[in-house]
Amino acid sequence: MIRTEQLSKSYGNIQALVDLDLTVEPGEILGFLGPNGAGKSTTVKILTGLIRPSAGRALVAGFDVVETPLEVKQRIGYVPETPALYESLTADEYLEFVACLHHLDAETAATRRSELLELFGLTEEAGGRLATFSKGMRQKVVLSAALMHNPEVLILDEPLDGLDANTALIVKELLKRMAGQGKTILFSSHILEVVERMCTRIVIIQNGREVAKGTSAEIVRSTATHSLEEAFSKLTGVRDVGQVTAEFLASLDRA
Amino acid sequence: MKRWFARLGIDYVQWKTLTRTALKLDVRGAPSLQSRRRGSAGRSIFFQIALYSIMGTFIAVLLAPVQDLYLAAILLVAYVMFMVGTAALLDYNATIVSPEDYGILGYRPVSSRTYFAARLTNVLIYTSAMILLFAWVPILVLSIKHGVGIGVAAMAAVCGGGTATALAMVAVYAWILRALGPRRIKMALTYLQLAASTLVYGGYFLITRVFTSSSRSVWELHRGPWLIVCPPAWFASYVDLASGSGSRREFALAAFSVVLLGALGVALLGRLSLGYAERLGAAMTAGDRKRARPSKRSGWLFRGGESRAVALLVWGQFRNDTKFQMGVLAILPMTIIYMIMGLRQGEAAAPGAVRDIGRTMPLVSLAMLLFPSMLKSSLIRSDAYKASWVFFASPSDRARLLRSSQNVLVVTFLLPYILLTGLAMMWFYHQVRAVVVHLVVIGLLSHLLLQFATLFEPDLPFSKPVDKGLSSARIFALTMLAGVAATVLAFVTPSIYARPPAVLLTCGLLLGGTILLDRWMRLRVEREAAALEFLG
Repeated sequence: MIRTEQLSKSYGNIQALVDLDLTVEPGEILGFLGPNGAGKSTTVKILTGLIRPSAGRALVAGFDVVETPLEVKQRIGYVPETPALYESLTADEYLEFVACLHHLDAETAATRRSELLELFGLTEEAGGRLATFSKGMRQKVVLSAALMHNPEVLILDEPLDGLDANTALIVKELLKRMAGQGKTILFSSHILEVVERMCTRIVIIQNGREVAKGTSAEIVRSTATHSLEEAFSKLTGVRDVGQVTAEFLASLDRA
Repeated sequence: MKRWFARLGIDYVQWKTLTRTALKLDVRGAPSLQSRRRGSAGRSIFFQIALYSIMGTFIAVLLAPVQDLYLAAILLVAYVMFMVGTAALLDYNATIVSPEDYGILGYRPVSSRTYFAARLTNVLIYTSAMILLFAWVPILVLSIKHGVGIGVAAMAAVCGGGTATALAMVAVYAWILRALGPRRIKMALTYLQLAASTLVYGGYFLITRVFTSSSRSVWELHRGPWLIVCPPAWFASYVDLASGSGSRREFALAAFSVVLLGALGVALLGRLSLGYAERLGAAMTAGDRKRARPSKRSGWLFRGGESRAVALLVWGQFRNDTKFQMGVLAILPMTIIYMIMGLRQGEAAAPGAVRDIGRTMPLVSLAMLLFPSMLKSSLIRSDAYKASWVFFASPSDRARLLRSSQNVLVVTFLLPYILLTGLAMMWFYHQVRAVVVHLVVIGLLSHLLLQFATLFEPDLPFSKPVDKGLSSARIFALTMLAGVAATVLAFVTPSIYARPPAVLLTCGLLLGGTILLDRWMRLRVEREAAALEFLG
């Protein structure tokens, strides 16, 4: 499970995250939403041990991310929003590299590698350098790397980015089944339809603070709107969409 | 101004914007991914200003007793040309051979000529800044000693020499990249860098040696016809002419240098372009269909965990990352030149006893001591630094990662290099026992220096951006330090090598130092690791 208590992060005078209380239970897929700069990536980075919180506490798989970061990292699978890869390695080498960092024994690592490459249709490309991979293929490698060590907790930032429709279907089905097996999944995305369909619960944050939580239906109801998209816009949009677009088009015509 | 640019086919506004942006990006530096590195851009600039000024002062002190003004000017210009050449090789090759621009500018309405002008301006600004920082002290000394006119001529000479070197390097890169197809470009770049570094290092040492040997007793220059083939002499002739002692030959050399600068500028016009960046972009994806061979090397040594991960990464980068390859292979031309110099100077005369081995080829010992720091620096800094997030998000032990990276460097590069150098020395000397003793001591010392380098910079492999301007500065500083170390070594080793117990004691001390440093490193890394955050 994932639990944060009064989690805060500041960069100088800028408060990126303010007293965030978040809980994701085992078997749950939590949709983590927010506009750009709301604090989603900061939260994800704290949960994965990439950065430390300024205040508050975060527990992942029962371990404190500050006090026992290695225990946490042993149990998480992470897909960053913009994943950088060592492009000089081949897909197979990169997965072996990650397996070594997770201390998987050679036999298990080899079996997992071939299974994951097979799952994502990368077997033929396994010997190709990552530098030559398309965006979607790179994303498949990142997803494979996140699943290599069979993690208890999955923290996914835009995991479907760049994937073709067939692979996206596989990933969605895979995540649902993994949740069914009791895995904890934090799913951060801007694609509301996917979040609505996949996630058992949703949390929306704005300016580093939680502004809504519950199932999609509960959020729609509490905001007196008709869809999650409208609810999201009402909770986080500071401007009238129709008005600003009309103003912009008018200014283009004037120019 | 705008009209003048337009005549050259350059869009003034775009040129200004591109140049200003490139400078802004360079001054700000690549974003560091680790919190404790923040604010390093200012430190890096300060470090460069201080280092170049100190080096300039050092050269000014060296040149002070030289009575022959022309000789002093030639030496000064030779140093400047060496520095600019090294910087072009190590620091500014990214400015010249950067394929990223095509992705950003390729679909913008920027003409090739405007793009090239901005690129060239960027290189020239850095070259000028470096020349001024380095040369202001020697030129001030020359001005005080010989008058302002000589100072002005010396300034023109160093600026001319430095600029010609920078333009020549850019021209060679541009020509090679035009002549070869994308698939061969990367391989060609590696060879080109090796050849250029041989030329730069070799030229620098040969010129220094020629001058010091020809003028050792009287500090006067033998004005032979060979000056015609010595590029620093072409530019230094400005000083000779300003002093009033120049002949027709010096006048011709000065005129030739001016024509050369103009010719280089004209030759370059239109060479670097967005089309050129596109070719490089294509080079990055060349060999798409080629399957890489799996790495099975030294599998028995690096079987699993952090050590296997680091080994895979280092081998992969060495196979495919030209910059890393160059960082490692740059030692080879240097060693070969030092050996040739040693042989030519008679230093390779077979030592009569084990005790003399440390005094022969001291520059080769210098190279062996320099190599660990070069390796370490190349291992840390990479264009792929953003991919190091994986170290921060995985349960790997950072101290073990660091130790593993050290071990991989030792097994893959340091040990083979020392053995190869040792074999060459044995071949020259036919003194197996002496060479073995020397190699063991040098090898242990090299390893100790690698540990010091790790202690000084306990960073994960390929986790820091390449700092523009700092690589060459680092090499200059290291060369100076290693030079001192090699001199001390040549002085101390005869008394050590003379008695076997002293050799054993030295080896024991070096081993003890290695173990102590290993402990110290672990403590330091654990402390440092607690403060690390990934901010990519």
